[in-house]
Amino acid sequence: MEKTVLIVDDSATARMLIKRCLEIAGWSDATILEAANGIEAIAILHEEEIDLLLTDLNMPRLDGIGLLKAIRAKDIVKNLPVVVITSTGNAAKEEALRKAGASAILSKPISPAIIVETLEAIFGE
Amino acid sequence: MGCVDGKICSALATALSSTLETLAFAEIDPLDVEAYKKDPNDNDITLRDESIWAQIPFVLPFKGYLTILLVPDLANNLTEGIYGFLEKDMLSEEVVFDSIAEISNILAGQFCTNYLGDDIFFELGLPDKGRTIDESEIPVHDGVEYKLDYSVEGFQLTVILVTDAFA
Repeated sequence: MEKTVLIVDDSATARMLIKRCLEIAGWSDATILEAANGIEAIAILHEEEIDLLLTDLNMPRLDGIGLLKAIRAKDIVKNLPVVVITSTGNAAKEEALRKAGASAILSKPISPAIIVETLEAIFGE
Repeated sequence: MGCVDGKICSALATALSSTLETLAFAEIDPLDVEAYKKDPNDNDITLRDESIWAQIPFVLPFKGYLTILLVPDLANNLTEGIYGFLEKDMLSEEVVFDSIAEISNILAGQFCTNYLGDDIFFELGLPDKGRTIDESEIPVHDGVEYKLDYSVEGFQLTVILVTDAFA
């Protein structure tokens, strides 16, 4: 079944790079939706059925941690796979994000190979 | 101040090299601007006059800022490299600003990872960006300043680190 992916990042360049990685990783049939911050993402989550959410951490209005906590607190989307893609990722940050409910944490810049590996681990495909 | 601290210099050069190579397939070389002005060699390098700049704050575990300043043609070339544009007229200033801000964001993150290691939690703020012919228009901050110049595809790129953490 075709999947719907929500990419959340305040940088249009970052969203484009993630979208390109998904296409190269074999997700070119997926429907891609975009949001520039956590508030926009939550509005989309109320309207659309999302299979995978990829989010930045550093964003205005509502950041990635706030979005992650909001998702994990809502019954309808609490099991949604959330991949955090951040420029501030290291082992110390990874532990905190895992505790907050992140399914995976990737450091920018990402590559199609790491996206493939991550999505295979999440969806088992 | 130039790059007198080897650890900072190395962390920054590695971060800049990997960021630009991964995002835009661009290579960097250290540039001594004053020496180049006195004795330009055969490799013509376009020095900055007007600049596109992006600045990102360090929030944790130290306060400070990382600013990158580029010749506008280099900013356009890097943006083309990132987006894979074939048409020059697809390059709006908004797209160029956004891509340079994203470069500064990734560069600052890679620098912190290289400098601090894997076990220290760090945070960055949101990037600011702009275009100027007068460097003094770029917001300045208190602290020790490290200014490093590089040549990228024949254009000058400057990185300025300002923080008290390295004093």
